[in-house]
Amino acid sequence: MKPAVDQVGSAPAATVFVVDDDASMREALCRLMRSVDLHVEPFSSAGQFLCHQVPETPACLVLDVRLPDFSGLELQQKLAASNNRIPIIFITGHGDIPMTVRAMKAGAIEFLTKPFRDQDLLDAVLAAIAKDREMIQARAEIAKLRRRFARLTAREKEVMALVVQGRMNKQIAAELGTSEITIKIHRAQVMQKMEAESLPDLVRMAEQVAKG
Amino acid sequence: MTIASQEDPDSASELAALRLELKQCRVDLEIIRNSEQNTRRIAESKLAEEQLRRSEADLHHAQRLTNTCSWKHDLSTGKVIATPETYRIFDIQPDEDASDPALYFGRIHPEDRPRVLELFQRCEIEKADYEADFRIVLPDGTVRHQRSVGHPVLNEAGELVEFVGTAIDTTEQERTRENLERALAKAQKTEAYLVEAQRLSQTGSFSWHVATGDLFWSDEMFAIYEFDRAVDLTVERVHQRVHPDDLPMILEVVGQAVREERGWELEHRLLMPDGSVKHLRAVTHAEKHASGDLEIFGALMDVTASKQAQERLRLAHMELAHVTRLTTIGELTASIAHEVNQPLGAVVTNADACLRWLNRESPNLNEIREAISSIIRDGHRGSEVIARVRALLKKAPPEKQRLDINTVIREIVAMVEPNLCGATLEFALTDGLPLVLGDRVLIQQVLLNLILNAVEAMKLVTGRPRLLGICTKARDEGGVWVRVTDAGEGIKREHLDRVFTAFYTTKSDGLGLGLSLSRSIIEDHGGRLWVTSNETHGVTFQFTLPEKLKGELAP
Repeated sequence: MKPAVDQVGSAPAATVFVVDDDASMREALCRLMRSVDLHVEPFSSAGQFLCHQVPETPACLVLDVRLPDFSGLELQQKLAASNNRIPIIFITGHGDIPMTVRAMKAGAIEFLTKPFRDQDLLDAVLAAIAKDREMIQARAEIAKLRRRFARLTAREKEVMALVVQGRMNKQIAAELGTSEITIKIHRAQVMQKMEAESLPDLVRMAEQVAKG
Repeated sequence: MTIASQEDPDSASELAALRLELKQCRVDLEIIRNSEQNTRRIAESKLAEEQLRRSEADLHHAQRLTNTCSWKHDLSTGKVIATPETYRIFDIQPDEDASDPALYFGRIHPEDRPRVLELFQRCEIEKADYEADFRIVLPDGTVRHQRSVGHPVLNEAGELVEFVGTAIDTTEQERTRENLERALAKAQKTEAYLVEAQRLSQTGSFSWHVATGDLFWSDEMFAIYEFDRAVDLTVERVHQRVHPDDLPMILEVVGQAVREERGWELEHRLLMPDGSVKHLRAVTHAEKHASGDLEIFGALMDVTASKQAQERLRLAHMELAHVTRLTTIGELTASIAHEVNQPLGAVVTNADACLRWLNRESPNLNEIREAISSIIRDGHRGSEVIARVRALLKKAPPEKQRLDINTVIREIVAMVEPNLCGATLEFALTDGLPLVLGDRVLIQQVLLNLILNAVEAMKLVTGRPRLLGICTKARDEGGVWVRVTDAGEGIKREHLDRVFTAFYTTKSDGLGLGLSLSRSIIEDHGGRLWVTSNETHGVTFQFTLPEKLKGELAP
């Protein structure tokens, strides 16, 4: 991936994936993305896109609903099933309401009917990229916390679980059948290893770790 | 004598003896003479008798041959004398008294008897000739017809002595006459029927003696041409009625047929004085007379009404085809919108991108150039789509032109492609096919129908590919052959033929007109449309289109 002169977004560089079977439309979309210095990668079918390795950089998918192999909506389902949460902007030559509702319910960022205003598409693309960036950051945060969490001993994990439930050291000691002083040491270890600055901070981290 | 008296008595007695002898001689001579005469007379009378017998025999033969008899009724004796043929004609038996007039009167048919007897009596009183036709009944019950002629014979005193007469057996003539009358009546009836039939069917018949130009026309011919019966029929006058556009064609067809001494079949028009047009259909055959002259016999039918009905039917059919097409295209709106919006979307997006590139500090001219080229391309693409849709939507009379069937298929497929519902198209289009003569829109309508039906048939198919095959080939007989195969649910054998019936449908929202119309469209093009079941899944619809249409004689 070549580093783009990023006018609209901020680093790291984002990628727009375009899936449209109509060569002309596909090229026009690419040209539009390039004009605002977005890195763009075209695909002519849903299957072709599925085979492609999506990078861990901000990205979004501009997806035509009608495609030769399977539809954009089906691709959306397949991506969701494989836990790929790339933000999707649907474009279609002719969209009906049920189709739109289905796409939006499944988490699409936008559903645009051709011909659309370029600004609408670009706004949606930027919003999608921003969302993806956030998601990437969130995923990175969770991963970081998980890594910290993984460093805890089994006893420390037990203690942390009870601490974030708001239990007093005394109560925890009683529950775990040990002394209050021991719990205090464990608790300090947890705070240190998790790099938590306060109890609420630790509670937030615990929620993040527990999320997916 | 004086000499003898002067001589002696002996000589006198001798003289006397001589005299006696002489006398005797004279007597003998006389006798001989008489006897000779008699003999001659006998011979003469024998000859006469022979002649009489012969003439009687001749008469008998003659009477026999002509079924004629003659008789004489002697009024004084009341007896009848008749020729043998009379007995035969009246069937008189040997034991019957042939001289009894009552026997003959008795043979007269009871229905005719009073009339005939009255006539006889009147003629007897008036001493007049009579002539009568009547029937006789023979003992075996046979009825025969007879013509009897009688003539009264009067004596010097002017009294009626007898009646002589002849009778002819006219049974054969009578029978012939009756047959003739029957035949004539039948012929008259037949002619009446024929005239009526010609009037009803508006068919006239005619004959034309080519060498003399003589024309014979039935009444209906005059009615069709609206000529007065009194008109002097000439080929020229007939030709004046013919529609001027058709005359050269008629002259050519007829001229060639006459040269080849055969009949012809022809459809042409008449232009009537009031400006109306009649459509005629003529069928003729040629006959060559022993003289070598050619005579044409023909029937000519006024098919104007049927032509008009045909034309109305054709119009109704076109109307129906148009409406059906609209319905089908209505189902395709989504596709059409997609097809139009696709290039339109690309145009707008390229134009937007173009502007953005222009507005940059250092415009990328390559991007701008490519964007504009693409806009031009898509502009044309969009207008082509619209033209195709408009062509399908328009209601224009069929326009037959030379078509490349593969192009026609590709165009329609481009339109239905977004509507394929997951079916995969498999093309097997043969290159270099002969061009076919047809109406693009109508043939596309057929293809549209077959493709949409195939898609519909495969809608619920799972577990096997939804293959839609379209194949074209050249036919050995000329023309092309198109096959549309699906892998759908198939059609039950007993329904295979019914699918072409109007209003037969398995779809809940279908009219059931698509296939019936498709078939008539293809048949109108001189081709054939049929369906067969596939060995594995689904059915195959196939149609053929000839290179040219069967020559039409008249527009």
